[in-house]
Amino acid sequence: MPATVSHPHHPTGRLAARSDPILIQGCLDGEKESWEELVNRYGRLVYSVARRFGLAEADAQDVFQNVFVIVYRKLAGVRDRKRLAAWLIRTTQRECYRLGARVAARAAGEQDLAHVEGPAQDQVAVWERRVLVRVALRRLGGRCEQLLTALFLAPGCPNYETLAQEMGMKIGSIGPTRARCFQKLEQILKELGFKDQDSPKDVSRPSPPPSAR
Amino acid sequence: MSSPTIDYRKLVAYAAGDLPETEASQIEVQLVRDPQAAATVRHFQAARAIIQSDDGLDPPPEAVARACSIFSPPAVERSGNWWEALEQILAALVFDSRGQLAVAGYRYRGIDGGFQLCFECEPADVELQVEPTERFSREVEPRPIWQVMGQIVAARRAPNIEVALVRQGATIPVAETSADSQGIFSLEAPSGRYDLFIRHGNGSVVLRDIDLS
Repeated sequence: MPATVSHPHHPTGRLAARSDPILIQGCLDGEKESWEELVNRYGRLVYSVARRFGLAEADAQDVFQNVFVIVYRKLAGVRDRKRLAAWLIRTTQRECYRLGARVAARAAGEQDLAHVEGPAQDQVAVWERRVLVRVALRRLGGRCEQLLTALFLAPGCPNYETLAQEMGMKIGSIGPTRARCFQKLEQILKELGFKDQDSPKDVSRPSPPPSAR
Repeated sequence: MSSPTIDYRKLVAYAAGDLPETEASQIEVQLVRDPQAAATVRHFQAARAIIQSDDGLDPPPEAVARACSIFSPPAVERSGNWWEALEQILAALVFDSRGQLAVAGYRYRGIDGGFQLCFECEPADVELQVEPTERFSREVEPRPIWQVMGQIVAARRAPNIEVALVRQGATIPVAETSADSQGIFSLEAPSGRYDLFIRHGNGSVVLRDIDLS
C-alpha cells in the first residue's frame, strides 16, 4: 500500500504543510496549487468511501468527480473549515446514494443495491483519523515520512537491518531518527487536532523484540 | 505542566516495542507519574494502528487529474470588483414611472407591479423595465424575485458591456451579465435596494438606489 500518491498533479510539500482553512482560502483566492493539494489530500478518502459503498471502480470514479465538482462549487460556503473530512464523507455518501439509485434503476433487478449500507458513525471517525495521520505524515515529508511510514506499516517488529539498507542509513541511527521524526509528527498531529481521546486510553505493553533500538 | 521525566528516544523505543522486558518495566513505572509521556506512547501506538489498519484505496491518477482540472482560476479582470476599481460616472434618474403623473393624470405602474426607470449621463442613457416574477428567493424568509431588463444607449458603441447588480452596502454582486450587441441585458434579483454598474470603456456608469419592491 503506497503511503503517498505520485502523479503529475501532486503539489509540493510546501502546500502539504498548509492547514485546511488556509488551503480553502487559497482555492477561493484562485490558487490552482491549493486546489490540487486539496484533491490530493482528500482524494484517497473520497475514493475509499465510494468503493466501501460497494461501487465498481468506474462508478466510484464518477462519484469522485461529482464530489469534487460539489466541493469546488460550495467551497466558499463550508461552515467548519477545520472539519473538511467530515463534510467530504457526508457529501460522498450522498453522491453514492444518488448514483446507487441510478445504478439500481438501470440494472432493473439484476443487481440489488439495497444491501449496500452507508458507513456507521464510528467508521466515519476512523476515516477522519486516518486522514489526520496521513496529512501529518505528508506534512512531515522527506526521510521522516518514509521512515515512519515504513515503521508503522511493518507488521510486528520491523526488520531494522533491511530497513536501514532500504533507507540508506546506518542501523544505529534508526532509533534516534525515529524519535526525532515522531516528535515532529506528534507536534503536527496536535496542531491538526488529533486529540488524546482519539487514541486508546491504556498504554498496552508492546511486545519486546530480541534486538534493535 | 511537569517537564518530561523519560528520555524521548527511549519513550518512542518503548512505544515501538523495542525495549527488553526489564527496561520496559522501568518505563511503565515512570509512565504512571508522567501523563505527558504516556500520551506520547498512546499517540505513537494510535498512529501506527491507524496506518496498519488503513484499507483505503488511492484513486486512479487519471481521476485525480480530472478532479484537479475542475479548477479554473477567476479571470484577471474579474479578480477584483471592476465597478469599484474603475472611475465611476453617476447617471441621473430622469424618469420613474412609479412617481410620475402621466398625461392622463394617473400613476403608471404595470398591472403586475412592474415599473420603468430612465437614467442619463454623458457616456450613455439607460432604460430599465422592472417586472416581478412569480418566483421567490431561497432564503429563510423568501423574497419575490424581480426581473430587470435594460437597454443601454451609448454615445460610443463598446463591445462586451458588463453589467453588475450589487445590493447596497455589499461588495459581491447578486447578478452579473453582459449586454448584447443592441445593448440589451436582463438580470434577476430578490427584493431590495441595489446599485447597477455598467462597465463602459475605462469607467463604469452607476445607477444608484434601484428599489426592487
